[in-house]
Amino acid sequence: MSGTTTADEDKKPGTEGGAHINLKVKGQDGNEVFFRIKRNTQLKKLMNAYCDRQSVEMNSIAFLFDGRRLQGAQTPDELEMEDGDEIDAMLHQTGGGII
Amino acid sequence: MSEQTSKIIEERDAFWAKEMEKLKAALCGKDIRLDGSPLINSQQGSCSKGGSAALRKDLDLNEGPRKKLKLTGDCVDEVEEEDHAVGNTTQLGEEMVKENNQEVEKSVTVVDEQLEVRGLKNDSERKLAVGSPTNFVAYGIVDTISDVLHGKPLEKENARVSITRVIQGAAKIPFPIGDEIMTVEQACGTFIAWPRDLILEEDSGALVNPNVKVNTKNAGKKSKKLNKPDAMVEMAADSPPILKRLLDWGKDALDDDRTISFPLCEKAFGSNKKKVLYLTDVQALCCGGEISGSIICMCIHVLENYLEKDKMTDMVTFVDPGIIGAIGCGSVAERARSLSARFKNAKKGQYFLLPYHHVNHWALTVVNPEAQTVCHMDPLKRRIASEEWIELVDNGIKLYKESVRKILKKKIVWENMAGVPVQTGTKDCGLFVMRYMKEICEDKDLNFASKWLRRKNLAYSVSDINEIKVEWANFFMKHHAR
Repeated sequence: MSGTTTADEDKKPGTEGGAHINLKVKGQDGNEVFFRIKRNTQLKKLMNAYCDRQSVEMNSIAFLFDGRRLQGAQTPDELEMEDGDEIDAMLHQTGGGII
Repeated sequence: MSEQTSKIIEERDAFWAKEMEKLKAALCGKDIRLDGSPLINSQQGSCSKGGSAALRKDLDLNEGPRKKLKLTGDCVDEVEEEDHAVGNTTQLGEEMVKENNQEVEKSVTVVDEQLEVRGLKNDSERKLAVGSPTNFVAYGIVDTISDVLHGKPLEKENARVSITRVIQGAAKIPFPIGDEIMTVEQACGTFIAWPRDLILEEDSGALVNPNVKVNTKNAGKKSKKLNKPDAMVEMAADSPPILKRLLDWGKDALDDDRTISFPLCEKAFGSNKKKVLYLTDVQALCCGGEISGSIICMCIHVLENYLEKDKMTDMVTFVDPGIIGAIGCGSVAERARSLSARFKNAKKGQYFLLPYHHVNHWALTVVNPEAQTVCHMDPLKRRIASEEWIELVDNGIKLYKESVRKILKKKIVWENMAGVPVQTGTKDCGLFVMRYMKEICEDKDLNFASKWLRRKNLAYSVSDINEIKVEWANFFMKHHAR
């Protein structure tokens, strides 16, 4: 019985593919972090989670998808992202001096 | 039937026990791997050390109720939980974390919509006070998106803030990060914890009610704000025509979040890492904004051209600011290792120019690893940046010397170039660093140290700085603008 439940549950993530999407964020050192996010969730959630992992502020990293810089308010749906798509995380160092 | 069932259950238990072992082994392995990655654990030393950061596999980083956070602590237990109830994974609100056994190597983080904000609104600036509520030291934005600060859960009575404007730069922050980020000024560019009772509404000075529920849709404003540089003024009317062309090109070609990428020049940097330029970078260069690392790298490509023409490439070479910067480049040890790897094959008497990015500021450090001398040039003429930077460069030199089995002299000599022209604006340190590099590259005798060691009231005129911009623009338009 439990065996059959397992099988059912195992399938679940696959059939749910419509609502969620798996995305890969690739750092400049080649390090990869995987995220699972709802298609209509703003990408700033993902960005924030990634930046917190790296202990940096959001504006220190630029996220690129298909050569374009991502805006936090965009969603995977808007950008027509597909399951397994890769986002590049680029270090963005800017400096001025005194504020 | 029941026999069959118990047999199946037994088999499954044995199988999962085996999987558990694999998982544990894989997680341990991953620790080491993650620990070694240059992007994790910034030098701030506040990030939870390797283990827990890596194990934080399905930490829901949203600002959900605190009980979610306790899941982060003991990952082994968590894995167990997942394994024994396959599919019935740790349920976080409506969220489900999927962690297939095949994915042990990966770490899956679930990010999802909405949550209850614990307290503070996140879309406007607050006054941050120290000691008493009237002693304002800075303006900052309270971040409600996460409950975690540098990998550690935040105390309930504290909020996660990022400083937007400094009032008292030298004031001590309530929760210093290591011994590196201790003052308000140093804390710019990273998140820090701040006691909620010392965060005040900007206008009224009233304490922020910690029980307001806020729609996170507001957070969109904040991220937009972050992406737009504050002062995007139009270009000065008397700007050189090439800059106008560059800006027009940028507005057209880099509009709509488009970017342009280029590989670093292997000869100049010893690496061909990809760098990316955005419209904001081009605008910053043309109209006077904060200069980005990619702009400086492109400037180095211009200089490398000159060096080749003058056959000076064995005298001066460069280090990618992206491997040594204070934020997002890894721990001190990792950066020292990257630096020593860069020093490999250094020629005798060769100078390495290191544009150093440190908390919203650019400085230039010139290292001669063979002679063990270091010169530091800070456009704000402050004292040599930080203890951490000295340690990093010293270790880089030492590691290099060890790797080539050369005898290390007792002392590495640091000199502060107090005579360099001081930056005039609040945002042109990047331009000044580029200008210093240009002067060093143009001087075949490499006399920069004697020129800049003592204070001499040297200054750069507008045309000196424009010269840098024009050379950059000419080079870029010729080689990269399509």
